[in-house]
Amino acid sequence: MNYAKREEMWGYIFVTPFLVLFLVFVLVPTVMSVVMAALEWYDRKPVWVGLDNIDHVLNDKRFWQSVRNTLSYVGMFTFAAVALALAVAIRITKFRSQGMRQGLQSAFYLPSVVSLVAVAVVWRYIFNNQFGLINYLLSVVGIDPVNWLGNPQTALPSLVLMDLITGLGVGIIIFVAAVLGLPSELFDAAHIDGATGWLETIYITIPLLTPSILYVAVTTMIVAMQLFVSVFFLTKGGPVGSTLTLAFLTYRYAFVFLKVGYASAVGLALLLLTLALAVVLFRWFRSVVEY
Amino acid sequence: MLKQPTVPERNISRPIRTEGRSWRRLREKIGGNITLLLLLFWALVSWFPLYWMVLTSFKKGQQAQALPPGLWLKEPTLESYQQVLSSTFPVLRWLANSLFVSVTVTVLGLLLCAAAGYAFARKRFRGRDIIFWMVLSTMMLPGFSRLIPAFMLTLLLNLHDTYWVMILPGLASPYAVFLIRQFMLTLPSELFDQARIDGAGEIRLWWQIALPLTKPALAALGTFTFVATWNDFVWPLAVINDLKLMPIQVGVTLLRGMERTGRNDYPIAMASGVLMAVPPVIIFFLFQQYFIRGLTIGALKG
Repeated sequence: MNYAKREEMWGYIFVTPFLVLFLVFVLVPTVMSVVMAALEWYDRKPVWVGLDNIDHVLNDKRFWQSVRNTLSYVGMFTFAAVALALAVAIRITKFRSQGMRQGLQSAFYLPSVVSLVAVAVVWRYIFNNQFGLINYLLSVVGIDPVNWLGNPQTALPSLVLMDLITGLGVGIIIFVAAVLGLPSELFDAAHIDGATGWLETIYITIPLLTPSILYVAVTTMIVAMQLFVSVFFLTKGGPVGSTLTLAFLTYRYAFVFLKVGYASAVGLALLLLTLALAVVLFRWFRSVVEY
Repeated sequence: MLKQPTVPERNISRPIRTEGRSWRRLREKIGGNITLLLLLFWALVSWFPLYWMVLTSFKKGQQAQALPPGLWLKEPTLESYQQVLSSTFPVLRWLANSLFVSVTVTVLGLLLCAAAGYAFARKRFRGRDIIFWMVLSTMMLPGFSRLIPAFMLTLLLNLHDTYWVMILPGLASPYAVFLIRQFMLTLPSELFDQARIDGAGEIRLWWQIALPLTKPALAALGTFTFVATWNDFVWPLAVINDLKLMPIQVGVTLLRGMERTGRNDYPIAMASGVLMAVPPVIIFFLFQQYFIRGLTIGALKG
């Protein structure tokens, strides 16, 4: 066997174990997620129903409600998470000692390591109507208690708040590294021109960070689109559907109502909507960079 | 290639200003302190839920509803931990299941992905670039949309209610392959040529040269994988119904105080929360520098 042939053979040997599992558990399910929207299942046997599921979904009020909720959660969360993480990260980079910076990065990352299940349960306690901490603090300053998770107006924003408080770690770490990696000459030039503090941050740091901001925005958006655990533990989609999300609807149709075909159609909508948003973000950032 | 980012020495070359210099200094100083306070405030806020969870887990049932709520411990008690561990459910077994699955996925997954990453980075074979592109493109898709297809697939393969169904899908991680490939691309080929001349076989080239040099990336990925697998909730919730096979994340939903909370259940729920939060936190403290580095490689080299 010649060298190139041997090389090729070993390439396949190294890649095959991974590839088999990748095909079975990633690629095939991805393709199936499109096909399954056109199937309904009866006793483990698939039956082709064409566009029936999709038709049902598009005529379902709950589906559109979930689309609205998911999009408004994603909008609020992605925007706030990127902005806050960026602000925190830029402040962290002002520290001159590397130990201090790393300590702060770790401190902000730690809450993201704790499982969402545990976090959700603590927050149910914190949001509790009668003896929750937030309402107690409000009562100290004389504000009437708010039924955070029980009121359709406040339920979804409460979930945003909770996820913001625990979910910024990754963004902060990436932004800190990105700021520290910027070329220092640019800052020197700006100093000579008299830019300091805020001006420097707004006109130099942030524009230079656009690629990292795009990366964090897209990954945050993808995670946010799949909001499930906090809904599952805190609100179950309620009150009156105000926290129904696409992920939760998918789960509920598949595993509670056992309508697998219908759930697959909702899952497909989740997939397509995420891709569409990713494209929108890429486009938008490109136009910002090129102005 | 994996250099720690260097710190721009931007404070060295201060511009020369003649007027308003001290005012500007003062303003900057005040502004710096205000943002510092905001930073510390946010750090406190983000740690507070964890503190509250630990604190409440040591309270007695009724104390958790006391108003005003006690912000620190008066009479710590292990009562709720005892109740969790002595409940009729096999809580210790759940913890052991989580540990077993997480460790297995981490070790096997790293080996598989390191082999694939090595092939993508250092071998030439037909279809390599197309396959790699396919692997990459799935990184942009939400995993949740694969939940039902993967559920039906594993159902038809009769894998539900086995350890396999929790282990196998976690092994093939596109992200891990991507990261390892990027890392292995930067290794100098002379090392491999030299070892080949010395008569090293292909497996040895991978095991004794490529893998040791990729340690930082492997350590970062290992910690991620462990934490992500330990914390995984939706997948085992869907495919595991057997009480004995449940991981802790799913098992706790059956405990008192988790899904619906009665009057005295908060300390019990918090104690369960602490039990499932401890292993990832320990792993985080042991490997924190790898965590930070790993996140950064993925974002800045992409």
